[in-house]
Formats: sequence, structure tokens, C-alpha cells
Amino acid sequence: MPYSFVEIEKEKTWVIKAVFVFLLVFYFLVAELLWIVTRMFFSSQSPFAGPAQLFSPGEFVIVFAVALAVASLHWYYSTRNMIADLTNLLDARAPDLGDTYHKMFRNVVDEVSIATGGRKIGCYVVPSSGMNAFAVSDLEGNSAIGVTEGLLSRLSRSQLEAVVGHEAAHIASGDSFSTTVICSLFGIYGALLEGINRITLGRSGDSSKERVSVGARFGAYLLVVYLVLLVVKGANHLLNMFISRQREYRADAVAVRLTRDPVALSEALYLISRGWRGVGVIPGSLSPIFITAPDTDSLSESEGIFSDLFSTHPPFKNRLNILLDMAHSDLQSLKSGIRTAPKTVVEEEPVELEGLSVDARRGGPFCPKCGQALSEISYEGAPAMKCRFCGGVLAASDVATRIIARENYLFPGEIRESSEALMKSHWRENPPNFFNVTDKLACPRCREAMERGFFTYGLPVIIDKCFKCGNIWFDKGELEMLQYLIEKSRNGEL
Amino acid sequence: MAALFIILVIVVVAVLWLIGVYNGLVQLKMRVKNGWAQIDVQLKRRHDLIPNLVETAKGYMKFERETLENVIKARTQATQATTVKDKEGAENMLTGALRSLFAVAEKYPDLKANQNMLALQEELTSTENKIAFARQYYNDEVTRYNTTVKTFPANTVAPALGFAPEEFFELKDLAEREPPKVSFT
Ligand SMILES: [Zn+2]
Ligand SMILES: [Zn+2]
Repeated sequence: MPYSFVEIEKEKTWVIKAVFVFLLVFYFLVAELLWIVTRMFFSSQSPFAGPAQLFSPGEFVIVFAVALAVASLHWYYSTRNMIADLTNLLDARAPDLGDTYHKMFRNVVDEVSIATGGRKIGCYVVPSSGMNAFAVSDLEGNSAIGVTEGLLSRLSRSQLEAVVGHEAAHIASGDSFSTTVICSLFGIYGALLEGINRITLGRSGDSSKERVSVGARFGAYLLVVYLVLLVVKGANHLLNMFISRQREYRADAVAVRLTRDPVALSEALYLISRGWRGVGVIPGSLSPIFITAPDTDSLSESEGIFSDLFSTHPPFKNRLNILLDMAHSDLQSLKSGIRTAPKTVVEEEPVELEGLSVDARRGGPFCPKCGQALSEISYEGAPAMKCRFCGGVLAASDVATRIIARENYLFPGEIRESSEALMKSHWRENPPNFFNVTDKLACPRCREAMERGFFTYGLPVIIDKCFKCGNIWFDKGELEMLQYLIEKSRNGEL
Repeated sequence: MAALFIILVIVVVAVLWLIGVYNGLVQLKMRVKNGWAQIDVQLKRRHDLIPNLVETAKGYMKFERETLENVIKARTQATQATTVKDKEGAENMLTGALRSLFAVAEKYPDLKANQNMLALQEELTSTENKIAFARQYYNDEVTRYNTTVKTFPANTVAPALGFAPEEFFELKDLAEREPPKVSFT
């Protein structure tokens, strides 16, 4: 390893000191500015009375004390639970070990952690169909690697290993710690700001009066919060200048040293660069912890002093060239060499219940339509239950999200045809009335009455959902149609 | 008097240097030991997986008793090996036996599609990778340690302090993948 633990500790204390000093100076300047402005309003003195008037030592000390207190509070509250705060914001969850993709990811992280000399690394999965990965580390020395569902379903094992190697390199070299601290101190607030922007700007399209009045009531609050966040976001931009693009090149190099496979890493980067990297609603202000900026702009793909200064990630082109050089290969053979995993025909593997007697199986959840015992299946690697009699599928809502993010199934002609027919039907003009459903199904898990509705707005696939335990019932073919339509809309074909 | 003083200074410097060299070597050797412990854990995990693997395969491969028995035999030998060199030989035998097991398994599509077998295969792949990474880490640490032990100035005192060069651990890959072409330039 290029770094020893001693060096990491040294770098860590350096980062802590530097960031805290930055915080202190930042709040001092803000407080001083506010103080001067307040005095201009409330005193009869001319603001141009001279510097002696503006900077009396007593006031200076008070302003400094205020800045110190605010900076300390900010530091304390932002760095208490950095990993939990960031993963919550990203909606990242612990892997479900009953899911084949998640199990493989857990294994790959364990493997790479051995290559780094056995440091423990946690893992998280973000239920997004985009392709991205991130690394976080905290003050106590805990660290974690997270990937999106889209990445898990679209990379091969060795490509995934290379990406995890890259993230492990960030952790081992200590720069994941500095990005985590910066994202926790500022990125989270930048994220809130972007969220507000999205809500207020995004909703302006549907001009319902009610929304406007609610908007007006919150407007006053928002303006204040908005201004504060704007200032913090400015600080975030300043700090991102310290996050050099060099660390991405360095992590690529260390990843190759760990996994000894530059081809797999270049393939993974190439696939990520061509795919959509979005991570749900993840804002750009958290981009430093990701392998590639979730909302890519032309800036990160360009070179020069300006983009070197403001962009946190280097262009893919340069990263690929360096890796391909190591592998004695070139872009052309990389492109022709990548084998995208072939799509398989829908076919759920029955899970064998070893050691369970037939009677025990009969006690399990029953089909809400025909009363048969449901059997456990693995649908695109995810654990679900199926009625062998009517073909309906029961899946927990997070499992359903996972299945929909995956694109490894090829759908038979009849699914495609019925999906197209459903889209062409007059469901928009004559929307079904979900308020007086008389034949509500009982949830197979908890017996609660399930609510009927569209799985997602904009697609006419109707499902039954239990709001008590979160399980969703799909009639025969509905899950496949939903997957087919969502894949199509992701590819912009709807 | 001056001569005595100079000798004293030389002795003190020599002792300090010796302590420095000793501490450095101890640290390097600790890392080697750590690396070996990692390998050991993973080899044990490998041995633990094999009975399940054989049990699952048995149901499908009725006419391949010899292949299965070879795997069991190789596993028993591997669990009994103690030294680095013995383990190397026994584990390579086991890898060979497993390879022929998987080659034969190709003929049985039902076995390949079995959920239990798929899960075991994922576990075995993961364990093989862990062994490979642990070995890589161990060999890297052995290289660092051996280089220090064998080069000037530490080589003048290392044997007297009881630091002998350590052995590398080489193992064949189960997957028989071609070695990645890497150049660190
Ligand atoms: Zn049924
Ligand atoms: Zn329920």
C-alpha cells in the first residue's frame, strides 16, 4: 500500500485543522460583515468614519468569539454521524444478503478490503438505476463504499471489483475522509438548497391556486433559509477548489495496484461514462464523494486551469488513456472487447427450501387472488414470492424498486404487445377511480386491505400495495410490463 | 580521554542504530505475519465450503465418484499441511481437483442451474479472490521484508538478530484466467 496508517492519521489531523480554520475564517468574515452592516443601520455615525471606528479591538474580540462558537457548533453537529447522515441523504441501504447482486457486492467489498491489508469496509446500495459509486470515511476510522443498483446490474464481477478498488483506494489514501468532511459540513446544505430549487421551480408548471398560497406562506421562511444556504454553498465551492482532480488519477492507479486489472477498470469507467450517472435526486454538491459527478456538466469533461480549479473530477478521456497505457491497450480494442451481459428471458429461479417440510411451507403467505401458498423465487436476483397457480408476484416495495432498476431480462413478445396496447389505451382520458375499489385484496403478509393504484405516475400499470407492511402485489405479467415500460422510458422511447 | 570519548560516541550511535534496525525489522515481520494470518483464514474458509459443494454435486453427478473423491482427498491433505511450502503444494493439488470437478459439472446443466450450487459457486469465487488478494498482500510484504533483510546495511546484523528471509506463497488460480498484463511505469 502506498500509504501507512501513520500517514493517514497525519493527513487526517491536517485536514481537520485546515477545514476548521477555513470554517472559522469564513464565519468571522460573515459575522464581521453583518456587524458592520448592522452598525450602518442603527448608528448615526457615518460608515466612512475610518477604519479605527470600524475595527475597535473590543468588537473584534466579540465578533471573533461569535464566529468561533458558530464554527464549533457547525463542526460538532455536522461531523457527529457523517456516514449515517450522508447515506440517509442518499437513501442508501445496507445490502440485502438474500439478493444475489447484493451478496456479490458484499463479497467483492470483502475481497478488496483484504487487498488493502484487512481494514473493515461497510457497504451500501442506492436504489437508483443510474451508474455511480461513492466512498465515505469518518473521524472514528469507519468507512463505507456504496454503489447504485444500476451499477450492480450492468457491470461484470471484475468490473465491479475494479470500481470497488477505486473507492477503497480513496479510503486507504485518506482522501475519502477529507471529501466526507467537506460534504458533511457544506454539501448537505447545498443539497437542501438544490432541493428547494427543484421543488419551487419544478412545481411552477402546475398552477394550482392552493399550491401558490402554500408557497407564499413558506416563501418567507424559505427566503431566509435560502440566503443562508446560498452563503454556505459559496463556501462549498471554495472548498471544492482544494479537492484536486489529481486524487482521482491517484485512486485509479492504486485501484490497479490492488486489483491488478487495468482493463476491468477502464471498461467500468467507459461503461459509466456512457451510462446515466444520476443517483436519484442527488445534488451536485455531494459530487466529491462519487466516482463521477452525478450531474455531469461540460466543465468536468474539459481541461484547463479554470476547470482544474472548479471541477472535482477529471475527464474520462484522460483517465481511460492512462489505464489503457498500463494495459498496453487502446480505446478501439476496449470498445470492441466489452461484452455487455446478454439479456436472459424472464425465468425466475425457484428457491429450494432445504430443511423445510412441505407442511411448514403451507403455512407461508397465501395468494390474495386464489388462496394458494406462495413460493419463494428469485426475480432478477431479488427475493420475491410467486403464486404458481395464477402467476402473481408479491414483492416488498424496496425489492420492487431494485427489480425495476435492473435490466437483465428480455421480455417475450406478448409482454411487449400488451404493454404497448396498455399505453395506447385511453387511461389518461378515463383514469380509473381508485377511491371506490370494492374488491380490495388482503395483504398476504399482514392481512391488511391493500390499496389499488398506479405503481408510478405516468404509466398505466395498476398494482395493489399494503401501506402497513409495504408489500406490493403484481398480477401475472404486471411486473414484467412495468419493467418493460420503465426501461423504455429510461431509454427515451416513450 | 578524547579517544575514549570518541569510542563512547561511536558505541552509543551503533547501539541506537541497532535498535532502529531491530524495530524496523520487527515491524516488517509483523506485517508479514499479519498477511499470513489473512491467507490462513481464507484457506480455512475454502476447506469449509468444499463438503457442501461435494454434497450438492453428488446428487447430480452419480457417475463421477472418482472426481468427487479426489476433491475430498485433496481437501483432507490440505487441512493437514502446516508449513508454507507444504500448504502451497497441497492447495495447488486441491485447486487441480476442483478444476476437474467444475469441468465435469459443465456436462450437468441441472446442477449448474441449481440455486444452492450457484450460491456455493459465488462463495467459492469470492473465497478464491480473497485468497488471491491475501496472497498478493502477503507476497508484497515478504518482498519488502526480504529486501530490507538482504540489503546493506541491515544485512550485516539481521542474521545475528534472528531475522531470516521469509518464503513467498504461490498458488494457481482456480479460474485459470490469463494473468493481467500490467505495467507500473
Ligand atoms: Zn394465485
Ligand atoms: Zn401488509
